[in-house]
Amino acid sequence: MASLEAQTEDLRCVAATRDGRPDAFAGIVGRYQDRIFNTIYRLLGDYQEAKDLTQQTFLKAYMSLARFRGNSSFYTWLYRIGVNAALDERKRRGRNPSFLTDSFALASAEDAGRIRRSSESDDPAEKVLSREREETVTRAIAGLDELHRSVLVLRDIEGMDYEEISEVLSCPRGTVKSRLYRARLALRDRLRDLMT
Amino acid sequence: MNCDAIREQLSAYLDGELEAEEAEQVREHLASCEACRKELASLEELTGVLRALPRHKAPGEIEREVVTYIERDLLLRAPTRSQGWAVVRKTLGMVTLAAASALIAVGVYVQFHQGERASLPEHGAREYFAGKGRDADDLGGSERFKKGADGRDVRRFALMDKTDSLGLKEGDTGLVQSHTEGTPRVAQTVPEGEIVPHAGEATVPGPAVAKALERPTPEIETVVAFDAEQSAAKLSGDTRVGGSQVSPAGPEVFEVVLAADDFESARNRVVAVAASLGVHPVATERSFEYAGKARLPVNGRTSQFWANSWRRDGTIYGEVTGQAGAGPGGPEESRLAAVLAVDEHKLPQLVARLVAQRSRFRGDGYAGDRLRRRDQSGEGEPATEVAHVKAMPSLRVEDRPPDAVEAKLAEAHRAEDRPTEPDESVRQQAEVTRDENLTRSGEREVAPRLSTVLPDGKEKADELATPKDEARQALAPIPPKPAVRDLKETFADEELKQQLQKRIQEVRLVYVRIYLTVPKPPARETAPAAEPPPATRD
Repeated sequence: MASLEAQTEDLRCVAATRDGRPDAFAGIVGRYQDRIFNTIYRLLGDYQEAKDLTQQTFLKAYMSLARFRGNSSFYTWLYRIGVNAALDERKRRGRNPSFLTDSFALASAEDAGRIRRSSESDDPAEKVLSREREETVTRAIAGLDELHRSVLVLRDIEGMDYEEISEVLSCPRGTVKSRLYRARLALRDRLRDLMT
Repeated sequence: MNCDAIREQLSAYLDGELEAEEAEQVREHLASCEACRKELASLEELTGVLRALPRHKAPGEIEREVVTYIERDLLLRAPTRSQGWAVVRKTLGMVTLAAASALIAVGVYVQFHQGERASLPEHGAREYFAGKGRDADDLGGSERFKKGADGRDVRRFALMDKTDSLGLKEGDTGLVQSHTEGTPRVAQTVPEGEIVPHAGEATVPGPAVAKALERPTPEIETVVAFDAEQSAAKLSGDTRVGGSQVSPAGPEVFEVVLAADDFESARNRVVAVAASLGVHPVATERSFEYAGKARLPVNGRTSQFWANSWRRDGTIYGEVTGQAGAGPGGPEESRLAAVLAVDEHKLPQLVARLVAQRSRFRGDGYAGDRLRRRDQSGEGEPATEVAHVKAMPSLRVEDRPPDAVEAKLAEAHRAEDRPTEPDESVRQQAEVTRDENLTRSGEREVAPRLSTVLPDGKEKADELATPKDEARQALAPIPPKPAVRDLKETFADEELKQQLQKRIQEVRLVYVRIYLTVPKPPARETAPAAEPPPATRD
């Protein structure tokens, strides 16, 4: 997913940040914030929470920068922090399940405006339709269990390959493969009405 | 292979993640199996739906807030790792409170600090060291530090700008305790002075301190070396005021004194209001690890002193504050509630919000709030800011007309959403106070009513007590601070880029100390210090 050039640039920024130049870290934030945010949003389905966790992800990465050894690429390391943060948040909410649905509905309503604005289509009916469709898909993803959801988001939304996913989730490639298979089946079940 | 086995592979086949041999098997099977082809098509449709989901962009403030955090972190980080000797540096002189009693505030920063010893100035008049015991041994060969540059005992600290320094002789103890492991070190006792020890161990000023305190209080006019009018103008947002008297390398220190009924809840509100502007405390009263309180006679009046220290990122900071002539029977006491490091451009907003919150601190219409500015305007003396702050080349507050770069930045900045986006801050605040109305009202009703203290001690009462519109006008000319975001976006022009980088480094931070004045029922007067503070805060 990330080119060699981008990875080199990441490492350059990491080194500069360690030298005490915060603007270098701003480069990292700028490069990855949209992707990290989108991933966390898809994992949680909550706009506000995704924003907080994205911020936390970068701060945590910044504070743990000394521990980044370069064994994996920087961005999978960053993703790992972000995904773990999101999954932890889910666990926390798991103890209070109503919270999830509430905030989820809230997030959807809040996001309606944003999504509508970003929609390319000029036909108002289509906009609403696509928004409803998105909402359905988002809910279906949120309904998956966390192992399935994370692998599905990383592959089908973030477009990572299996190797990268296995780095982010710290699990063998074979596990990624079988989990993804089950995740897709489970999601398809949930979206049966939507799909032709 | 049968259909079940193939279907398990279809997902990876679709992703192109099968080994060549496996992929070939799947291909062969698909050629002959209609059901599996349908299954594959269905999976393809599913992944197509997922890929078509709109991608959400991260909210703009994330980057800004992260970078702000990092800048602050760098600023506050201890320069070295090991523990060691405490360097006590005086920050400033004194201020007045217009009302009955003169208030003396003395700030002493204590910093555990090593590694930069060699860079410490040699003229000793303003550099002070505190500490004893093991720490003293740590000095090793640095004899000049042990002795002080002027050959006098190093264990002393300054009380007032350009006036006295308190000599603490061997065996004496300062109001500021140095301690490296979180345990307050032993202090000594002196007969005179009423001491309220804290955390079981007393820190009591030695006779030398007490003696020094008995010296005549210097004329306030000579000590307060700042222009109150200018200061007030600055606080109200008019940065066009020229000729700052602040020594160029030192951050300004402002003080805000607010009246409050209840110290604890008022402190929480202060923190919440600050958080609503993205300003976070360097320390709050809650994080003070050690608080000693001493009551000493000064000029025949009883004065109170508080010693606080707090720990941050392995560095220990300390501060002594005092209030002269506010002894027993005094109606109120002012205590340091929080120390904030604030971007200069946020200062007027912060002050306005704090003042606008006044009714939350104490009954409406109370006019006892005061803004005081402490500065480091010693003549000819180098700045005496805390050493690691000095490491930032840029803690410079200077007034100059906006130039082309700034104008451009301002434009870029305006194009963006303003730094104080309320929704996040309101949320943060709600966590602290459970009271969202707090900032909301602060944002709406920005009506600073500032009472300024003039150098001659007279109160320039409520000249700034403006109606809302005027207040907004006063707050209008806040120049936008160059943000890293702007920098990045304007990077096309190489020359501009360099200029901007230089400018960016000029982080204009000022310190704001928030004091809270609470009514002091005689029975309660020892209570605050006796109450053990939580060991750490984060």
